[in-house]
Amino acid sequence: MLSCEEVVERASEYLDRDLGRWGRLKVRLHIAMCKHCNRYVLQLGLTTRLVRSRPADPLAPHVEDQLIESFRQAPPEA
Amino acid sequence: MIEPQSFEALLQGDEQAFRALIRRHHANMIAVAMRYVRERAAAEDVVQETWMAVFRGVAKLRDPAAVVGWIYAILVNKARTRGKRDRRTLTFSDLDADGGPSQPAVSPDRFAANGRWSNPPLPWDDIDPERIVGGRQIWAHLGAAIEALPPAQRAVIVMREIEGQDAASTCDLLGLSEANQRVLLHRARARLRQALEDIVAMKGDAPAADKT
Ligand SMILES: [Zn+2]
Repeated sequence: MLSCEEVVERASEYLDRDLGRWGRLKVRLHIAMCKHCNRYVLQLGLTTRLVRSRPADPLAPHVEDQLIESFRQAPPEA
Repeated sequence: MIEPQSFEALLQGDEQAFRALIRRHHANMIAVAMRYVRERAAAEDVVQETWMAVFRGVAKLRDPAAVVGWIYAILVNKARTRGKRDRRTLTFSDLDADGGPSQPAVSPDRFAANGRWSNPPLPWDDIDPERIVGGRQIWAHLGAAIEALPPAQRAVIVMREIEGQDAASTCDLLGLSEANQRVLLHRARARLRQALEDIVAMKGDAPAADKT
């Protein structure tokens, strides 16, 4: 039986399905019985989904314009 | 991943297509460059030079799926060179820089001696992506937490979760072993989870007037 601390260390690999069959089963058994670890794993998954869906910060307009200006001066080679 | 139409537009030198590309990747590129050069200004230089190389070379590309990896390969190459020139390249490994190879992702203080939670995760009833998409607070908080990650963790999370690169190409681009990449990703996620827990705790303590 894994300890909570061990489950937490494997949580990312569990979510990414990178654990072997046996490793995966051990985590599943633990989180089926431990509400704290279950919560931790769910929250880690939610964190990942939030990071992925976070809208990009807008770029300062002068940065973009400056880059586009240099783009105009150096158009791609055909 | 670049859409086929956008790829065609890039090949044809379409300005709007480049604007879209810049908007989508510029900030992420700065984040990755900062793994190699620690000064923000140097990272900005490196990213700008990278864009120049992208503008010049993009017409030679054939595969839309390879565009993002190609951009980052140029970036990392330039950033590494610049880092060496500035003598800011770290002589110790990223894992040391990010807290030591044996340091766990979650503070051992939160566990009892038998490995069980003594200070378990707080419930997150308030953080539901569907409910918070309208509110910007969570995005700002998460953005700040990503920026505050140790450089190698930040580079890995940007490549994996934001730029959508797989583990193999992330290892390749950042010169990491598979094991290091996995540890850095896990630590980064654990820290970001903690940052979200902190905002939940803060909200719990906030006076009712602050709640909207
Ligand atoms: Zn547990």
